[in-house]
Amino acid sequence: MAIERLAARARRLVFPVTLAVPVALAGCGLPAPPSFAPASYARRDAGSEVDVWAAISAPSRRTPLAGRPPGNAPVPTPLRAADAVALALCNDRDLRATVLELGVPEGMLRQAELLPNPAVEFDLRRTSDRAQPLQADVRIEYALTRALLTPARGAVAAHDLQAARLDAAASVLEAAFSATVLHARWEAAEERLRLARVSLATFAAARDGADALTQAGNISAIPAAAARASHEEARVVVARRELDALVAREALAARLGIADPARLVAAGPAVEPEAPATTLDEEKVVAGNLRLRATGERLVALAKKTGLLRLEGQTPDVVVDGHGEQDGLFVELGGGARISVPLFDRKQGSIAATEARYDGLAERFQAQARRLRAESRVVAAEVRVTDACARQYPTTILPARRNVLAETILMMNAMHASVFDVLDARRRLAEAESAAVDAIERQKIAHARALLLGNGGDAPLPQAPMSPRTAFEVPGEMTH
Amino acid sequence: MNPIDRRQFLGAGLALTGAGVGQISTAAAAPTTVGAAAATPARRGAAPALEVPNGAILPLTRQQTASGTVHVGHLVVEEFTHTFAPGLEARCWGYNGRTPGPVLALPEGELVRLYVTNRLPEPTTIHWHGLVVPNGMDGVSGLNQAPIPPGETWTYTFRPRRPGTYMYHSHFDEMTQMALGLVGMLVVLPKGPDPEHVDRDFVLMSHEWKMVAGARRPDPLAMNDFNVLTFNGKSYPATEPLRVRTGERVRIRLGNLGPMDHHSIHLHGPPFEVTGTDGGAIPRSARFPETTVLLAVGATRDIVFTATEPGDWALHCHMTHHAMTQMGHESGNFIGADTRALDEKLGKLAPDAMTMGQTGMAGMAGMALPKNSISMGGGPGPFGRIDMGGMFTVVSVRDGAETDRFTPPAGTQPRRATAEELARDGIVVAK
Repeated sequence: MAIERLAARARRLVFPVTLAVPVALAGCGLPAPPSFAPASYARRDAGSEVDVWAAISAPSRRTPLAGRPPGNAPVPTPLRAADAVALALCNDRDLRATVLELGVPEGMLRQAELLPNPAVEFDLRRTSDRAQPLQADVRIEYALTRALLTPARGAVAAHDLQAARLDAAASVLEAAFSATVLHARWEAAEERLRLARVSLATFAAARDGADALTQAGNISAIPAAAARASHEEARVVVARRELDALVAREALAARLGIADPARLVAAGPAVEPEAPATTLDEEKVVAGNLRLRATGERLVALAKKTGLLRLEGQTPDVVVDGHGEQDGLFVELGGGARISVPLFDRKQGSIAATEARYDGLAERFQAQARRLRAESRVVAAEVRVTDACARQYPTTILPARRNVLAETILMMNAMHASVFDVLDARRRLAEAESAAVDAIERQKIAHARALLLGNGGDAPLPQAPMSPRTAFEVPGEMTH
Repeated sequence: MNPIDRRQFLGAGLALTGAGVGQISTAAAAPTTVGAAAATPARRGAAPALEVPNGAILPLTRQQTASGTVHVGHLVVEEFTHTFAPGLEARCWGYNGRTPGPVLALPEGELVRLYVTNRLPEPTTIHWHGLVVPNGMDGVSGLNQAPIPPGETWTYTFRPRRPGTYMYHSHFDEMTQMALGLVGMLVVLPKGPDPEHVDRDFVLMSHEWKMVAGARRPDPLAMNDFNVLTFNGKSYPATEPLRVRTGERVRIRLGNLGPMDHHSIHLHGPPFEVTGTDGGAIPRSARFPETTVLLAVGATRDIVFTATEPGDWALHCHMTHHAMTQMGHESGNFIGADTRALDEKLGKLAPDAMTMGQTGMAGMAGMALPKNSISMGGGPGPFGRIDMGGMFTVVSVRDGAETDRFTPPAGTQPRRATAEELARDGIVVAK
């Protein structure tokens, strides 16, 4: 595939805002370097989108990803997902290394495209007969076959460079995706901690109420003891949530390259779901996947390399030369050629090795494509389900729980319920809010995965930084 | 309650009497309570008209046949919306759009033909509780008759033999149908003069319902915790007073067909005698004065007294939970509890909630309540809020017009003791 066509296709790979480099790669709160032309970015005020491919296609040492010292960008307060992505792209040293290492295939291409140098041999000879004049020979050789094959070697290197650029672009997407996911997890963990504290407060109130009734002599010791036990169990839950939030905060800070996690401030209660995501097109996911396309480029490079090796092996190595000799009064001029006969070494071993590499990589290409198809179907299902679940909480479940609380208060006024029932209803509301946070977290991650896949990325979820959450842990029963 | 004089009562009763049998076929066409009571048709001799506070009397038509006079009535068994008190409604089952059904005032010894139209979703029957009727007319489904299918109209014909106070009710799926309201009072009027010589003759039927606050249908499965207690289908403050004049001899015909609970009906003021049950009149030699009568489930009691003292005299069930409306028992006993720590947290968690009952429960009225539920206690009285509810009403005794406001004579009410009085009588109040 010609690099122009590939580049043109890659330019369409523009990140939507949630995965994008929102303030532009050159941003991070700092001015763009003059060497990086603004035209490289598809900046739009509405979405602050960035043409990742343009950034990756620039000379590697001039990209802002590589050229900016990390870790100095200010941390916005509160830290939103787009901010987290921008910080991650500015500060991610692995990503910077990847971009810097684009210089390797660039150099290889440049080298491959260079013509071989001519060889010049110059001899001076004097015989023992001093009367004889000084003899001089000049000989110029040029490796003709090698020179003729230079464009073919360049083509192989060009595909390797293209593959490296596609991998680097994928790395940018994956870094942004990782930051998005870790940000969602951190926000959710902070919110779950807040709601666990609300739940703890309901148990504390129930304990106080049971204590008051016990001291007044109105109830036996059992309900008060039960309320105390439930309160202590709720404290354990809060401690776990605190640890979860700490771990999530540290994971995000590490991803963003921030030394002090205390600088991270969450935006606050986030119980509103995102708008439903558009559906994924499986064919487009496969066709646009950067890693898969990089593999395709490597396959092309290997195929071309095989052809090159075959040509090199079967083509006689022709070195042409011209020489001049001054022998006394005579000057002799001549020319010749040296031809190696490919009788034994026709690069059979190198060809076999390259073909084996090609075959292996082709298998991986197929496997990768199949996995992508499966992943796109899974993610499409995740998006549908998580959208529905996330909508269900604010539209139905949370209003119903709030209504339960309001009606329970009225029932308490009518003496058909107790203050402990009210506290129980309040705790169940917090429990539902926590479940809503779970649902919205899952929706955000599903959206991020869909965006990643839809824009050519492909990455497994970052390792969960905390123990799996199953249900909102509820200690014991309320006191009645 | 809107006061109404006896002339209006009689007018309403006569108007009802004129209505044809076929006209009382739906709840909408059924006679509604006009003011305080509806009255019986003209009675022989000096016997007073029946008065049914909050209730009605079934109109009967007289038909002359070769074998004598036949009194014809029509009961429609149906579901309708019943109001226990303003703010508390329920889908109930009853007769002619009311529960208890209209009082059946039947003449002693004369033939009665009662049509029963079943508009329920299930069969029903009617049992004439306490009456001696031909066995086939006794109304026990499966024992004495087949049940009346939905949509059909059947007839009961019998001749009431003994004057007195009786009841009628469904005898098919009794638990459900009686709990939902298929009950009513039946009075057999004597041929001759009333031997008790009363001036006023009231009919009161007690009932009990399980209505979860906010619900709109009584729970027929309930065995206890009945929380809506009614006289003639109404809970105080919707119960209409029994208005009499000073010196009148008053009879109250009490009946109880509630599902589970007996009631100790207590009359403040003058003592009474129980003069009869649904088994017949009590011999005078067996009567004794009392102020409370135990009204068992499935029993009637006639009490007679002379209204000697003017004023407003409470008449209520003395079981305290029966004199509350929608009393709940789930709030917990907070009397004497120091809830400051709880309240502080509760205020942050649920600002609309407030603990109650630390100093007693009298102050709970006026709180916001679930829809279709009312405060468990009371209504306005001449000296503040009356915190009774449920099975509570008032016998208003007046020297003058029955609707006059009663003003206690000077010196006949309690008041705050003065220091001089305390000192005079040697009362020391510890600080």
